[in-house]
Amino acid sequence: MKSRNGLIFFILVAALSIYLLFNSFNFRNTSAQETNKVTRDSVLTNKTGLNQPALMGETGLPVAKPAPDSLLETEVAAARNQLVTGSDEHKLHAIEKIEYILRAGARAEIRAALRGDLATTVNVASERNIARAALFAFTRSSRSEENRDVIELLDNASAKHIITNDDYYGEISHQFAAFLNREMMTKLMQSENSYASIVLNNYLINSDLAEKLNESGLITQEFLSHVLNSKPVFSGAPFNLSALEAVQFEEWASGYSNIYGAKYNIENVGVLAQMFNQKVDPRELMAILAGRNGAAVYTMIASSPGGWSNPGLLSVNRFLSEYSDIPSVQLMAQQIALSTGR
Amino acid sequence: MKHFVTMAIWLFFSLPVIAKGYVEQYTTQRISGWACDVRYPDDNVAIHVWRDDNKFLGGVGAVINREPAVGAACGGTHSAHGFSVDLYFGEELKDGKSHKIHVYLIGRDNFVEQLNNSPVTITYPGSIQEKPYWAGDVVARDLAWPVIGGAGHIGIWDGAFVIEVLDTGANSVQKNSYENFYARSKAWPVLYSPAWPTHVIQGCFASYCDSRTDPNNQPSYSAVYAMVARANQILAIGADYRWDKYIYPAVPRYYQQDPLFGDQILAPLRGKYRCDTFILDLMSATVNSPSFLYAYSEFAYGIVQYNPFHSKRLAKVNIGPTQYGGTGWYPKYVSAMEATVITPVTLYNRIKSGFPQ
Repeated sequence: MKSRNGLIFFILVAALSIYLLFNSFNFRNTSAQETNKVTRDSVLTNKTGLNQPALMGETGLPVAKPAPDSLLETEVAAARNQLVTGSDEHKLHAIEKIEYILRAGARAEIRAALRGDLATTVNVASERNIARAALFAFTRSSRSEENRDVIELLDNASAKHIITNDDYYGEISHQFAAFLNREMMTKLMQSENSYASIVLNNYLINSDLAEKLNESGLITQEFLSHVLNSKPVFSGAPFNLSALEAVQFEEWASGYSNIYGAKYNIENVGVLAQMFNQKVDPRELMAILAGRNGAAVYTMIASSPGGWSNPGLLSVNRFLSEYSDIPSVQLMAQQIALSTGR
Repeated sequence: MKHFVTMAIWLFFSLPVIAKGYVEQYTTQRISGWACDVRYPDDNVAIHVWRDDNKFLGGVGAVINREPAVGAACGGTHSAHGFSVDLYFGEELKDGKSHKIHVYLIGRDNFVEQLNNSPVTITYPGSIQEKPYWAGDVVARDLAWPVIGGAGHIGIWDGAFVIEVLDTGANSVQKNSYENFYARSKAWPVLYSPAWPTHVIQGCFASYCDSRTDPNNQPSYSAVYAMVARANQILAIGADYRWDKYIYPAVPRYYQQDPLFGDQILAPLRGKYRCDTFILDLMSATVNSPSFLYAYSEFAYGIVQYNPFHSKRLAKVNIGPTQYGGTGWYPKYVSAMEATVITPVTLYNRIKSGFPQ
């Protein structure tokens, strides 16, 4: 009986060892990029690390597992060493690895050391692409208490032309949406950067974020005016209809309606429906009808008294019939029909 | 759609006419007529002329004195409403095709409307030039590099612009005119209306996708529109150029459950692409929602088409192999993924031949 129990114990220990070994390799061979790398084989077989249940969180996205300290220290030491002594290619690889470790979660002292290395690389790297990679690894792995560091490093990088204006304000938008930082909000409002608005609107379409902004007291009149005044404009001829511009316009309209609705406690659909009472470019209204709130807006307008003579709907109908021979207009008409269910 | 068209027909003619004016004479180099805004009949309006492929041909103020009948038609106190516009006639316009020329009146408060008999049709001299036409058309050209130019460069047309990935040292996702695209090297034939799927995809195309909210509460997009929305999502999240065959997808911000350090929100992860892997990523938006990128295998075989505001629910569609009752799109998508083994030219050829398996 004793020997049987010993055998079972031995098997359990062996199984545990194999499991740990496998997972160690899994960690060793996984950088931030490799985690997200998609190959034909992964699509065909669904057998990448991404799809293994042990690595999946509630979101379905990869969740890094805590690694044994000794292993992590080896990884960290190797990455830090490569960042200083490696070739350009090795440095880029090391930056990816460090970003992965930071995003996965690391002890405070390791985290501080790695972020320090990234900041140093931004400031001293002679190759612009290496400095850029280090900068984005730094910003995208930051936490709220590190907002000031992020702003300082972005300012440095901008002054040295490591990043463009779009990069700078785009990153400020990302950081603001994540941490609701007032200093970042002020910077955004002072800028007239259209790319930053594209990024911000891509967040504001999430109504949960609008609610959080409101709870934080950040939806001020100035902020509302800033978003309102950053309304995208369709380019080219009055009939020119870029699907990308339509998507961007719809995100602006939905984002604005979300924050306006959150501040004044009214339905965002009502805010969007109001836009149909103004004299505007019909492409703007078509973009709204083609988007996430299209059906609700259409229903609200059509069911209201005099809805059939709504000036916005009339201008959309007129546009669709005037330019029905233009392919991009046909795509939009198809998307409106799909979105509104009519 | 039918509803919109029906409504358009009976409402079109009941709309108040605010612009008045006619195009009287037109050639490739000059167009003339008269125009006024009947709300403000004494205003002198501006005239803008556009070709149907988004070429601005010229503009002028409608200020030329005309016969009293013009003033009477406008209802004002004078008849200085005539115009004569010298049209731009550059070499790139000479494509040997007939084009619709749209003539617009620009009134107070940015009021824009076509003249009563606009557009008019003008045939341009020259030889036929290829241009993308439908949203979703695939454009390609030689790679602007010595020796390996044949490897190619590929982009997608969104109805007005080429969306492509370029190594510029900034965000690699770019929106350019087709003239800009073709000016850089020798163009390849446009792939008109590739065999993109016709199903609908429901997904999150934001920088912040919280899977804890109802996944059904997301927009429903036609496949081509979803590809464009994914392109915008990548543009917003940010992307860098990378010279290898793998897709490193831009991933929206998400929650991470961390047993050691507590749950945390992770910032969006920037993507890394070259031109063909970018197109492949856009195609991936036709098989699953970017918020669940490559996470759930079942997305590969069925897409929920559901909009909470719809009066009727859309049916779930099987996009798996045809022998299993599917539409066959997923195997085609996989077929395109094989192209990354070689070069953009391989992807181009696979799209051209309808994604052979």
